[in-house]
Amino acid sequence: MADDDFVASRLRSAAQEAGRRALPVDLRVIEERGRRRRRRRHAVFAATGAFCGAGAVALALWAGAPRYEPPAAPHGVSSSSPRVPTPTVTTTDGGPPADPTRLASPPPTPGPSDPAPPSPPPSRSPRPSPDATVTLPPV
Amino acid sequence: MTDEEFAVFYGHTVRRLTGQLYVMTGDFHEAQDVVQEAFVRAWDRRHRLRQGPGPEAWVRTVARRLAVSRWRRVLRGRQLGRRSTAATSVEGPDPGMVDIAAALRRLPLRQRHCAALFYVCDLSVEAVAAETGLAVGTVKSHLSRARATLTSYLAPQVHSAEAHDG
Repeated sequence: MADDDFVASRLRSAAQEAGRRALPVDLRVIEERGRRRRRRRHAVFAATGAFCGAGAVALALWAGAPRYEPPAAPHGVSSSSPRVPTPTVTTTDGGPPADPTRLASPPPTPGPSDPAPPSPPPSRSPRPSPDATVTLPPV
Repeated sequence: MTDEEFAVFYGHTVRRLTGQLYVMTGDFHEAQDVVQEAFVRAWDRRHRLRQGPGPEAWVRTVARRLAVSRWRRVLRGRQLGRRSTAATSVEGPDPGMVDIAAALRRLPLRQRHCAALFYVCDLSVEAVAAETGLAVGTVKSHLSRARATLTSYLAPQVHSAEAHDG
């Protein structure tokens, strides 16, 4: 308890001494700093609002602009579409084909679990005749 | 709070708050700076100041938080300086110049704040806990340690001064 009183008296006397020595600034200085602080805060708010508004306008303009969309290909003539290359089976009377593995793969057959039938084979290439030679890759 | 009320409030409390913050910070100029900045913020919101627990407690809390922020900034700067430059020897306090400020600087920050609020501002332990955001038991622990440190540091000075006078 004596320690308590001793510490309390020393701290209180130190605080009173510091308060006596303090030279508080004039209230007008406080008010001027407060006004400046308020102006600065308002300027920051205004700048932030302008920046966000400009960003919102730019985003709206960008989202509303018409985009380029390629024309849709007509149905049923997909073989003539230049963008989708269709596999072609070539008969080789002379040299080997460019892609032997492609030729060696069996034609796709719809299985029981396949829900969608495959697209029809290309109509431009002739169907390979039994006489045509097909080069198989070496096993 | 009107402008006139704020002027009266400022005139009545600025010295007392500077003294309290001096005990909390252990630095007279630092105490003056943070009290002035806290009053600037109080002026900015003077029309809403009556709604809180009390304008003086509000200013004291703002000043204390400003002091803590500055102290952390200084601490980070010291750590960076210690990393970038060679270690420099820091002189200890001169035994002849030991005073209450040096004793306060020996206390950790929270112990110093609790001691200042309890002994200087005359707040109860519960009020100190509410103002600092600490638990009541933690405040009691901080107060006990601060009291022990301050007593062990200040009591020999008193005894030596009494012996010198006698």
